[in-house]
Amino acid sequence: MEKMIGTQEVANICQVAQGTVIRWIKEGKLLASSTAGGHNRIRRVDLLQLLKELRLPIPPEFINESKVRVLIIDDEPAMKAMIRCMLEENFENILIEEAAEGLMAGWQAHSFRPDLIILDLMLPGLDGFQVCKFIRQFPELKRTKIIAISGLHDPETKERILNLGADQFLTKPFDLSSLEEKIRGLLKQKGASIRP
Amino acid sequence: MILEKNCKRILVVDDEQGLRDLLHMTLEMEGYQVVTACDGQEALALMEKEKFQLVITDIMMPQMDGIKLLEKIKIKSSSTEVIVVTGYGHVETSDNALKKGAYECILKPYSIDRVLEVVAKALKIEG
Repeated sequence: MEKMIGTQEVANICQVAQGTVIRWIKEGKLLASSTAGGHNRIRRVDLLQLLKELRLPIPPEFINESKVRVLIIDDEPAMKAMIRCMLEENFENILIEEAAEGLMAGWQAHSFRPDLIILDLMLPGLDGFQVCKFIRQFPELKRTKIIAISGLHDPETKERILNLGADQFLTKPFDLSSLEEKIRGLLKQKGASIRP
Repeated sequence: MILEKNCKRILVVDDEQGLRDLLHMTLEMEGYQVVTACDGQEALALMEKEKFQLVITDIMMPQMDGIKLLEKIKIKSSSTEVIVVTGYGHVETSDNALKKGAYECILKPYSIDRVLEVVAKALKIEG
C-alpha cells in the first residue's frame, strides 16, 4: 500500500506552519484524502508536485517520487517494448508503466499520475481519442503531456487529437529518434532530469 | 453471474465528469445497469423515478455533499446501499459516513479493482 504522510510532516518538509498546509489542502493546491479519524493524508507524489511548483528543495528520500513517470498506452506488445527500450536507454530517472486497453488505461492514468503519456489512437475498448478526452477531464492530470501516435496519416486525425488535448502527434511508422526528440522537448518544459 | 448483475441498478454520483464517465463505462462493461448524476439534487430526483440497489457517491460536491445525500437516501430508501468515495481536501470524514449508514468508504485515488470488489460485496454478487 502506498505510504502517505500527515500535515505536520508536510509542514516540516516545507518549513511552514501546519495551518498553512491545511489551507493549501482547502484551497486545492495540495491534494489530500481523509482517514477514518478525519486526518488529512497526502500522497508523496502530490507533495512532490507542490514542492516543484513552490520551487522548494526536494528531500533525498523523495528521489523515487521525483522520477519522471511515463505511461505507454498501446495494444501492440512489440511497439510498447520498443518505446520502453528507447526510454530506458535515453532518459534517466524515469518510471514506466504500460497499458494495452483504453478503459483500463484511463484508470491507470488516474492512479499513476504520469508526467507523460504516449498514446496509440487505435486501441481495443475505448479508442485513444476517448482516452485523451478522459485524461484531460481529470484535474490532477492537467499538466500531463500527451504524445499521440497513429497509423492514420490524414490531417483530420491530427487536428482532432490535438483539439482533444494531446501535445504532440506522430504518425506510424516513425523513427524512434523523432519520438525521443518530442519527449525531450516536452519533458524539458516540465523540468525533468534528462541524460545529456 | 452476468444475469445477476443485469438486475442490479447502480447510481453513480460525482461532479467530476472524467471519473463519473469512466466508472459508468466500467460498471456497464461488468454487466451492471448504471445511471449517473452530477450532483445530489439530480441523484435524488432520479431516485424519485426509479429504484437503485446501490449508490456510489463522491463526498465533495457542490450544493449537497455526499454525506447529506447519504442521509437523504437512507431516509428515503433504507435498503439502498451507499458507497462513499472521499475526495481531496474535504472536511467530512469516512467514519462519519459509516456511522450514517454507508456500506463502505473508498479513498481516492482508488483502483478500479477495489471499487468492483466493494460493489460486488455490497450487492451480494457471488464471485
